[in-house]
Amino acid sequence: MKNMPTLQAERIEVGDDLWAAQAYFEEKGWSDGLPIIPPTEERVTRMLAATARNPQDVIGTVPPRWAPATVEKIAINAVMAGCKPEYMPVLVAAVEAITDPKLNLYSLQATTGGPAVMLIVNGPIRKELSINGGSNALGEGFRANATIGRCARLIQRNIGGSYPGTTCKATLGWPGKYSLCVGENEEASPWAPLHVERGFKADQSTVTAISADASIRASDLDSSKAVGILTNFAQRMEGPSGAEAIMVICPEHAKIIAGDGFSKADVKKFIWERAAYRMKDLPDETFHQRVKRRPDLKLTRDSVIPVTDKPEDIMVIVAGGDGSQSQYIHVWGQSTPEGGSTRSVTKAVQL
Amino acid sequence: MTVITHAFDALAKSEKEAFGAPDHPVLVVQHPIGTVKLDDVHKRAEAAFDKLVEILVEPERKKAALA
Repeated sequence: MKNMPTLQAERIEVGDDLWAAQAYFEEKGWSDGLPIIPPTEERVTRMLAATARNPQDVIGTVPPRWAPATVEKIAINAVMAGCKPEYMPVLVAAVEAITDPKLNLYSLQATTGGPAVMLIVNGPIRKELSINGGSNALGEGFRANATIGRCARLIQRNIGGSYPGTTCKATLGWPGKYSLCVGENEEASPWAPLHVERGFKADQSTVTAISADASIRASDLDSSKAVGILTNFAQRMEGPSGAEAIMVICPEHAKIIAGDGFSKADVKKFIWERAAYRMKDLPDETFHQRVKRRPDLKLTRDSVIPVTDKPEDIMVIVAGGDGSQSQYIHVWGQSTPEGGSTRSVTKAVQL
Repeated sequence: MTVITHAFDALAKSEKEAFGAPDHPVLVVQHPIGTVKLDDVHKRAEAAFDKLVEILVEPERKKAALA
């Protein structure tokens, strides 16, 4: 291979037997539990050839080890996760996003809450890489979604040193921690996509990282009007508030909602006004802790806390295929007077 | 200094290494705290108080001894 970059990573000799190699990786703690592709020099070099970045460029530092994520290390984990080389620009943007201090990845990994880091991809790169935003968008079956999300998690483990039980303190975690990457179904959305809403151009590609707990299905096969669908969404979202919330609206619901004249801002406002956490329903100890955590809200038993501090903190994306099945994803992280313990981050994909 | 519960001991050790501060003082108290009755939290705080003071004043004491 011509113009091979000089790789800095330690070379390790492992036998050619695939399962012996897997046993070695497992013993070293380099896997998420699933088999990995051995990151040979040739494979890593091929991965690096798909980016203009220098292999030793540091894209971010990954907690809890606070180790530098160089492009080379990202490429190594990309091979291990099963990525194609052309995913590299998305992976670099994903690492920029997950290491941005606003996301607070350290807390996401250290908390007993066990959230995943969800990646949302917008723009033309979705089509170029076949990142699924259609049928089963949050499920399995698509290499780009599966391996990009997996690579982000392996980077947290292999570069960041996040190991369950010691430096990752998730009490239970959830399967989204293996991999959680989705493309927004921009073609089926009646509204501006997430990245345009956040100031990027429609023809730019972006990756958004956000803390994500397991989702709650917001099924509604009965309503033919926006008000009915949105009221059902709000009822699924009742409960403890977070810094942000994610509403993944399926195309069939989105079409009805927009058809009734609701803009995306209207959707957020409608849900926000109804997705309530009623203080009168809380057990005493829970109520008193809420009062202590948010003295600025001057909570009483008559108070009602909305799902987020502001309507615009509800992220709305359109994804999915046929069917009237949307999903609500709670965002781990306290809402605080300072704006929340975690905030989503969007970064442009540099080609 | 940092106060943690013992469930976060390994994480604290990792952080001290990551930041090159192996001697950073950490006071470890019993886990959990979040679901414990307030009276019991107060008892644990009282039990940990002397150690906490010791950790805080120890560096000054050492400095004074060397002076």
